[in-house]
Amino acid sequence: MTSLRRSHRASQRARHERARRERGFALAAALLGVVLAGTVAAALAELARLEVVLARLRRATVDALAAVDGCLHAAVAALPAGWDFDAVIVGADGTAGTADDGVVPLAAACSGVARAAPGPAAPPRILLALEASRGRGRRRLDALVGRTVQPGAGALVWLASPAGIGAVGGTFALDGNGPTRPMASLAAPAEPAALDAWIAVQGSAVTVSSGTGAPIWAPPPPLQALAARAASAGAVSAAAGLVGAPPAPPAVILAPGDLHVDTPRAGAGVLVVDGVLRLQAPLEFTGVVAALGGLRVEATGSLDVHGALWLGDESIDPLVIDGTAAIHASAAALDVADSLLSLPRRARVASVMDF
Amino acid sequence: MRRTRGTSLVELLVGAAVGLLVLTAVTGTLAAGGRALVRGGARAEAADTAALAIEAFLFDARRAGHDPSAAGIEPLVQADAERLAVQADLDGDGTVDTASAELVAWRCNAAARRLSRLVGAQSLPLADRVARCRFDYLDRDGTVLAIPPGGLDAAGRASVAAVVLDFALAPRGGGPTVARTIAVSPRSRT
Repeated sequence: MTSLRRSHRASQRARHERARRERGFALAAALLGVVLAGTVAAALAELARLEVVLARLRRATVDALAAVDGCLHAAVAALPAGWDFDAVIVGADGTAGTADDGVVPLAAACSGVARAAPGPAAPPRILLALEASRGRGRRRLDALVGRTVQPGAGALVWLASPAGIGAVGGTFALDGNGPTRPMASLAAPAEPAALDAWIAVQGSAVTVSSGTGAPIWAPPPPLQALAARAASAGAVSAAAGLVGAPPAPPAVILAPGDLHVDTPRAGAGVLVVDGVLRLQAPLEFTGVVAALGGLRVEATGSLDVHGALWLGDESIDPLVIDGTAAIHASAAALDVADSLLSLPRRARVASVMDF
Repeated sequence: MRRTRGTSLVELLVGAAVGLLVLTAVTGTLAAGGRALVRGGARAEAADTAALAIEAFLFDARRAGHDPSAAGIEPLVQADAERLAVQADLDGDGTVDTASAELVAWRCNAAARRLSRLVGAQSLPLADRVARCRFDYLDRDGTVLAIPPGGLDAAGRASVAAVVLDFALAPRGGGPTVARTIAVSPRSRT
């Protein structure tokens, strides 16, 4: 009996032992499976994490590149129109070697300075070194900034200020559909949306031909400097330069004060009025008409320009049209005018060198 | 004693069958995970390579024609469907040092299925297993210029407003290609 009981206990111990060993094997197998699966999952997670880090770095780089490009184009757009960059290089005080040399207005998170480009003085150009940061990204570039090939602002009407342009009582036609590239209808140091709104408000009084470019932002035209250059270039008087009927010989014409046109006149080249251009009779002009004091077309007057119209802000109402006015794009007319008197140009980015 | 041995055999057979099933399932799952890992890694590698190529192309194409001393340096030296060479006067000395980074060429080598960047005289393979690679050239109006045999001539190169690089990389081990297209204006002509 005792032997039987002992044998039964031994058998029970063996079963328990085997069961314990079997549970241990299953656990080990399960653990091994978990470890392997965990390893694969961890590798996948690490791969994903690495890609996320790389994507973040790339995004930071791209953001910074976009930021420095934005800084560059904003800075270049704000540079004054003109013939060279002397004023930028010597700064606001007009003296070289001072702290404001090469200082250009820049947006926040941008820093940079302009300097003269190496080599000959012509064509006019500067090197603009800029740095911008956004988030974790930082980019630096050198930009070569020159002047546009086409004179002017690339617009039919270039305004020194959008303030004061009132309602058009007569009709105003803007035809910027040139043979090479379309010209913008208006350019002014103002939000293009505001210029869009002005055109829209005029209704049928202002007609913009199909193919004409939308209004653009531009720095004010340097009309005082243009008048001074016209005077230096030996400009003729309005009486001599404007003839009774076309064709008129191209010339640089300078009216030292207001110019009243009360009989039909025609002209070509560059007409600079150092005051208000008041039209009580038709005026046809091929080239650039620049009026520092603005334009007034009275009910009996009309203006027909093939080229461009540039208006200053020396009067309260720079643009008053009670008669008819039409501006047509003409690259050839601008070229002729530019050959007679070098015209101002906007700054443009010629090239960039990233670092 | 006899009952114990019989149970053990049945248990062993059933256990072996169940174990085999479990092992098969676990192995299959792990293998699928491993394959996903390899595929994901290969695709990520191809995407990284493509991103690096795009970044380098952007870098070179933006620099092309940089001419601070107004020496008349043209941005494009060679422009055909398989090869693009750009130059810039980086140090402003008025000349292009062809042995330096001032002259950079890009080559789509269809035979070797490779996209290479040649800086001066140094060739730097950018990507292998290139399934597709081509350069195109757009004029100011965005029209794709026809490329004659031998590439664009000087007048054609002067009319280029943007260079397009289109390529696709086959990930290691197969799978869908990683395709990228980028258009860059070598120099502002406005």
